[in-house]
Amino acid sequence: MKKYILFSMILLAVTGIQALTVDEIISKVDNNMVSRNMVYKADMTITDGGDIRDMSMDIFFKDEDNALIEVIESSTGHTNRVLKKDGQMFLYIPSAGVSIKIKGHMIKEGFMGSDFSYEDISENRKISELYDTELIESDSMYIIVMKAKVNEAPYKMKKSYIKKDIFLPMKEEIYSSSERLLKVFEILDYKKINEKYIPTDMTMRDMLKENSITEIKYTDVKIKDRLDDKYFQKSYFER
Amino acid sequence: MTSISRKAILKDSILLLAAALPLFFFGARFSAEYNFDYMYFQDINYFSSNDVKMKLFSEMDFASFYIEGEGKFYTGVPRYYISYPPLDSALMNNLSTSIQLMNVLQVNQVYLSLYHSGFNLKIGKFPVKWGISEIYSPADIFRSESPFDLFYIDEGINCIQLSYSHDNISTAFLYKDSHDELLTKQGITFDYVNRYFTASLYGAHYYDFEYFYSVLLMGKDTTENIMLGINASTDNWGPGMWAELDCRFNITGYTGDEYEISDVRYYPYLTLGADYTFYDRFYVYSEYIRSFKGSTDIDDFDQLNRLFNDAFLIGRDYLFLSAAFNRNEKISSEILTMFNINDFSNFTSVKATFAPRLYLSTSLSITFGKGARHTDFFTIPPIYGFNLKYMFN
Repeated sequence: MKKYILFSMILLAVTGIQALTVDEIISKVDNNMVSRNMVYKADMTITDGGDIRDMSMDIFFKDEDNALIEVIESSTGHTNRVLKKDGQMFLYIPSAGVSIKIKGHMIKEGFMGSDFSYEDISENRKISELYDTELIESDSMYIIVMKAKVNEAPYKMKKSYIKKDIFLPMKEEIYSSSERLLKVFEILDYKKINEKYIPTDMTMRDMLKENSITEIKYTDVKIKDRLDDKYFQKSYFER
Repeated sequence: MTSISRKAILKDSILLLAAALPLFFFGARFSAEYNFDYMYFQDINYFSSNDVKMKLFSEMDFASFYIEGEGKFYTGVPRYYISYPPLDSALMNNLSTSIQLMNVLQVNQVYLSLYHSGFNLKIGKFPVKWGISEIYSPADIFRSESPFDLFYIDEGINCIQLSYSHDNISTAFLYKDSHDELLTKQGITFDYVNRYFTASLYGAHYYDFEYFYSVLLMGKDTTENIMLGINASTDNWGPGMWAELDCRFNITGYTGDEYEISDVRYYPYLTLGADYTFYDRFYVYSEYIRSFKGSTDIDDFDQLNRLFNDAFLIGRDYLFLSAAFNRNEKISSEILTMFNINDFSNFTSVKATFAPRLYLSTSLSITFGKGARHTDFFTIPPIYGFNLKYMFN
């Protein structure tokens, strides 16, 4: 009897751990995907039809409302900067000498002509703040269907395939409101830093265009206690 | 460009280059762009140009250096004929009916930028843009471009800019240099950013040469001007929306410390704009500008005012519209029109672009104006343009 009770308790404990709620899964994913005070270098390769473009960037992520992306080298010679300051986004073009506010729907346009939009590259908000979620489970993946619950959500609908052991969305299908497949996001590689699994090699494929894919590789990823406020100031951005 | 100013710019450029030389030890980036343009003025004239632009850029955390040079060389008869409206003024008899376009070899921009503890000092020759409009802003006293100018070369201005940012607020002081003290300009801006909107407050002081005329007489005077303005923009509700109110105070009869209050003339402007992208493919930009002192009944003197004083907004109510289809795609088209709401005259440009490669693009354009005898924009024969652009690094 005691063995039976003990066995039942163990079984309950194990199944209790495995039977995560969708909110718990999303929370673990957010813990990996949403970071504060991160600095990293990124190499982006844009394939558009027969053309291939490369660029290197320095990225500073303070929080969901503040980020700085500096293109330090580009095969096209463009070295623009993008600043997200208190949720507002600005683009600085050195040859123009002025910064332009990326307003309205422009934030959904491709960053430097890539398949990642300005919103994708600077988005750092939690899934739970933006989407209603529904869980479908398979053997190795949690499959979560997300539908936008606020207007500010980058996409109307997403289907995310989350690896069970590390809680990273290894693949995301992005749909329009009419459920047309727009983009496919994939994580090709990741790294564990400070108990977080951080994607280090990702691709975004535009399903509406032929042979249009962008790959980003993060290198030299650092999570700091605090980032200098200067990176998110206009005077530094326009230097 | 006079020989004196060429020497001054060359000297300044060499000094800046010498000051920035250490930066190149930390890496410099080079890019260049070639443009071939062919212009056909229907039944009037045609010519072509070859334009090469080169850029060199070096950057560190606390400093950056940028230099851009351009050479533009015309072939054919590069004469831009001006289709004046049939004005009655006798002064029209002395006006040139064409502009001879000259070959250009110049430094468009050269500047050194230094950053420390929130302060940024930028010195040299670089572009400055004031005002919120992306087409034409009455507040932009530093930029001489008119939307009419098809052959404008985007050249910076010699100036010093000191800016400082702290939290959500930035401020910048700008001093535009000139060999003539009366052509210097000083400006100050305050910018504020928060989650819901951005806003700017600005003011400037400058002198200007102003032409005045009557039926037979034309003269020139130096006027002192103060400009004050405020603007704000938001995309909190989806579309981008913005508004700007600015006013130029023109002080005449200034002699030393004295001027008569009754001599102060003021010119207020209001700008309201919005933009949006529909279905990720169709971008629309619209802007309404009200020039409160503008004329609803355009006469010859208003046109002369535009010609001689670069007063682009001589009318009262304008609508600027820009629409682009498939922007940033391989094949795209765009239209820009400036429309006077009071007399229905307009100036329009339509362009189609094909970019088969990231480094190669070609476009066809047509520009025309439609108006009548006493309207703001006047009828000009269509100007057809062909452009081929190649970018290399």
